[in-house]
Amino acid sequence: MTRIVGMPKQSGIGSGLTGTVRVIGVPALLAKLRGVQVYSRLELGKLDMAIALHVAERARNNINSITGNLASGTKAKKLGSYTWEVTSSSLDGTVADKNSKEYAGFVENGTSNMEARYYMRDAWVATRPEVQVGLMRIAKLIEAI
Amino acid sequence: MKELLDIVYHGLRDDIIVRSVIGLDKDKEVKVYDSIAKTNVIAPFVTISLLPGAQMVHVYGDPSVAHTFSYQISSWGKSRREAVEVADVIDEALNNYADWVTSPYEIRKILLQGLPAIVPDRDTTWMQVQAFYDFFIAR
Repeated sequence: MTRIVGMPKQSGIGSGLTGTVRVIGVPALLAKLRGVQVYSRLELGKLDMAIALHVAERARNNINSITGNLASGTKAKKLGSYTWEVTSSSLDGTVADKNSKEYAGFVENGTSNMEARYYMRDAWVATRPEVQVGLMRIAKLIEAI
Repeated sequence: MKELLDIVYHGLRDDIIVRSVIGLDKDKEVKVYDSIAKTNVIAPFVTISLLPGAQMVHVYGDPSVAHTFSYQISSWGKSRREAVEVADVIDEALNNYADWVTSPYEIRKILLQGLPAIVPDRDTTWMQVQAFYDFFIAR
């Protein structure tokens, strides 16, 4: 805990206040804040990864798979410390014979003859509550430090 | 929920500008369809698809006071220019939601999400303008 010691005193009538004021406990507080920073970075990084992997897995499960090409082409990729990307591309699929054309967008948004499937949006909507729960958990853990 | 979706559906179908630009199909219905067009319908037409994530807002224990949901509204045309013209007309119609019959609900807000995308069709030479709108409707 930080404390302020010493009181300013007035040196004479009509003059300003002078005196020494010292704040005790700042190094310990800074060390604690650095610890919180490191801890929150780790936890946020883990949460980002978990959310991205869940979205990718749910998207793969949402696909009405025939060849498995689009499902295998739905992946999560880390872009930075707190940034993940979930992409879906038939050209990234592992079924080599079938992945000569990109059709992920047609499955997601539909065509003139086919309804939209929204497999990616569904996956995000289903995973969104986990983001809120995860962030609240991290906030409570930080508060308890 | 269906009555909320019908508000948007009928609001677009009853708009006179939309009717005049898009026209009628062989069943004499305005070519605004739910999710997918009827078989053998020729562009221009419009399809409306409900996106996942519709939510109800609870107020004082009443679970159906307000609703938020999102639609993908696809404007189809035989060419890029036609698709864009249809999309403009639909956007204009959505801005005129005050003229729609919505009772007992009231449309509070219709917002365009991001920018529409112009994409070719997989099965024909037609083009579609995909626009995503958020709707906020309350009682």
